[in-house]
Amino acid sequence: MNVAFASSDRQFGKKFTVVALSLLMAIIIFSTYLHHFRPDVLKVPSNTDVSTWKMTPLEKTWIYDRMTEGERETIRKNGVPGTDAFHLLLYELLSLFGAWMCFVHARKHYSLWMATAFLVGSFVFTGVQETLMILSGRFWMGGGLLDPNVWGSYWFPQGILWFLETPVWVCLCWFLIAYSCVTVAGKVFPRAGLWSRAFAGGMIAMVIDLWEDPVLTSPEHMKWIWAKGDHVGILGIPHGNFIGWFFLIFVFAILWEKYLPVFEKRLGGWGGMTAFMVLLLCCNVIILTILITWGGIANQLFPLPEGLHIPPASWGW
Amino acid sequence: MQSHSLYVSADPSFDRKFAFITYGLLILLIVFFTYLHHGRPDVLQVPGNANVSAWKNPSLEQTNIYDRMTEAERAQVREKGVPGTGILPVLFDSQGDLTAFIFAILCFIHARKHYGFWMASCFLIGSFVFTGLQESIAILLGRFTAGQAYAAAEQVTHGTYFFTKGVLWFIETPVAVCLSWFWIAYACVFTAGKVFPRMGVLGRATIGGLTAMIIDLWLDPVATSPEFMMWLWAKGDLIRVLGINHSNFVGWFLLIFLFAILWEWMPALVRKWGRAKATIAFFGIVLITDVAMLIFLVVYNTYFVRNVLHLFGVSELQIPPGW
Repeated sequence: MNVAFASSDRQFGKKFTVVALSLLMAIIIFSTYLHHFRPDVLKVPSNTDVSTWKMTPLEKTWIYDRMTEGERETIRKNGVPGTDAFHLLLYELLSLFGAWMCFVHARKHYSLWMATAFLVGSFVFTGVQETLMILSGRFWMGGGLLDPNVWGSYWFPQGILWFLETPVWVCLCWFLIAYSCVTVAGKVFPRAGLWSRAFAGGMIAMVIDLWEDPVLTSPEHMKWIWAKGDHVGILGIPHGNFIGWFFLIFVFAILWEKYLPVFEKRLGGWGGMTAFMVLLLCCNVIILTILITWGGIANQLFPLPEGLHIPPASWGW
Repeated sequence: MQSHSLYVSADPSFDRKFAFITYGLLILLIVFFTYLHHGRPDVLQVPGNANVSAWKNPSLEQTNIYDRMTEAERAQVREKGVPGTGILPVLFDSQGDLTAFIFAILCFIHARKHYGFWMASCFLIGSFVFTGLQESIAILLGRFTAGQAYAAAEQVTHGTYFFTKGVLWFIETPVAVCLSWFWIAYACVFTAGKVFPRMGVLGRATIGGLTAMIIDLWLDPVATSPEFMMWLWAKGDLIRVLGINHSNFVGWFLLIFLFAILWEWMPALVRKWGRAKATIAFFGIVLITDVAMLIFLVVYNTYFVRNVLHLFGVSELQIPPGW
């Protein structure tokens, strides 16, 4: 990544980092309280009693069809796996460690201000996007799963700390995947322009998820749970997920590298960051709109009961 | 990979001879083993894709995937055989013959441009033979020795496996898999060199091997799922990661790590012995390393893993539990 301009004011960088992380922390504390202590507010699905899932009953999740009878029984009896303190903590700590390494690298190469902007920006950008999709599914479309025009939603069952309805470890993973994919793309294609690098970074991340998602959503992990609704599935995962992965990283890489330095130059540190965050939130809404619109079109193109499966159902999955 | 120090300029007369012999030999081997696999499956006791109940070492019930199948999936596989054995998936899916060929060609063109024809060919043929031989020995060893041990003692020293799909075959490994090994190894070690340009060969080979291993960590559970069954793991490994025998991941790392080191050593061999001797030495070392690695993996699985697990008071380990 060849950043044209970045704040070199160390004092400002420190102040900015403290304020940005404090704000983020306050949101995380509030969201964590809401998730664990007032699950009724956002209708958080229970991990212990899956029979209470209403918007998306277990039978209407993608994973249900792939479970053995034994696995279904275990989940009905014991609840979602991996919700013990050890596993929850393991994921939080691993993602924190990975994110910390990327942050140190970013700080060294692009200044503290730019590194914090990447961390906080990608954290909020992806956390808000995930939460929008989760809550839109839960409150608007979850009840209409049989409607051919809807798209499949999802939710995360495991997490200690939460940002809105997305676990903090997921947001941290987004940061580290986005940062490392775009950095690697820049190293492998050093003469490529910003758009090409962002494209390559987005594609790398999407390909990683292509293999990662079927494993992490398996009955043994259930790190997130897909509701039926998307008629197009790739390796047993709704195809909208992969479009989302590509778009999030592609768009963020461009906004961070191209627009953040420009905003900072024109509006100063605080103003630049505020404009950057507003732009990110606008992009969140645009991406959600695109995904829902495209989901509706794709579902019309490939009506049930066949839908479209890649590889085709006759090939297997 | 440091392209400047590894570039070996063309020597047209030698390169022509080298290409004729190595590619010619490889094609002959592929033709022979493809005939053996499809035309005379009885010779290497190739498990039939249509009738899975005839599988013996291992039987369907002795595979890792059996426990993860629904009753409906088991019945379907018993009735219809291994899924995706039609010509389209065999040619075009992620490990299909044509898909692998396209990616291999892309990587070969890149390698030829950056390291010269001879170096690129040595990477292609070297990694093809190195991995194809390693896979085939592990498969046949399991089929003819460890499989019988399973029947006799209800356990195996290490879980074996076999591939189900492929048009062309190199011994008992699909050509698509050998080509995939080539392009994955090349892409991983090349990327490692780009990301860590100041790192030495050991560091780059380590990063390249780890990158490939992490790719397989996610790829293997999907490719071996009931819907694909591209290859099948036999029960027997004492440690399983995401439902896959852990020795597979050790193998992935070692194959790419060792091959990258051997290949980067070649320009030094050329300077010392000339191109002809360097070629013979390289392929000789590749074959010796194959055997050494196999011995290491058997000893590692038979003694080391068992004893380490005993130290912690467990007989088996599944990561995550239950998979």
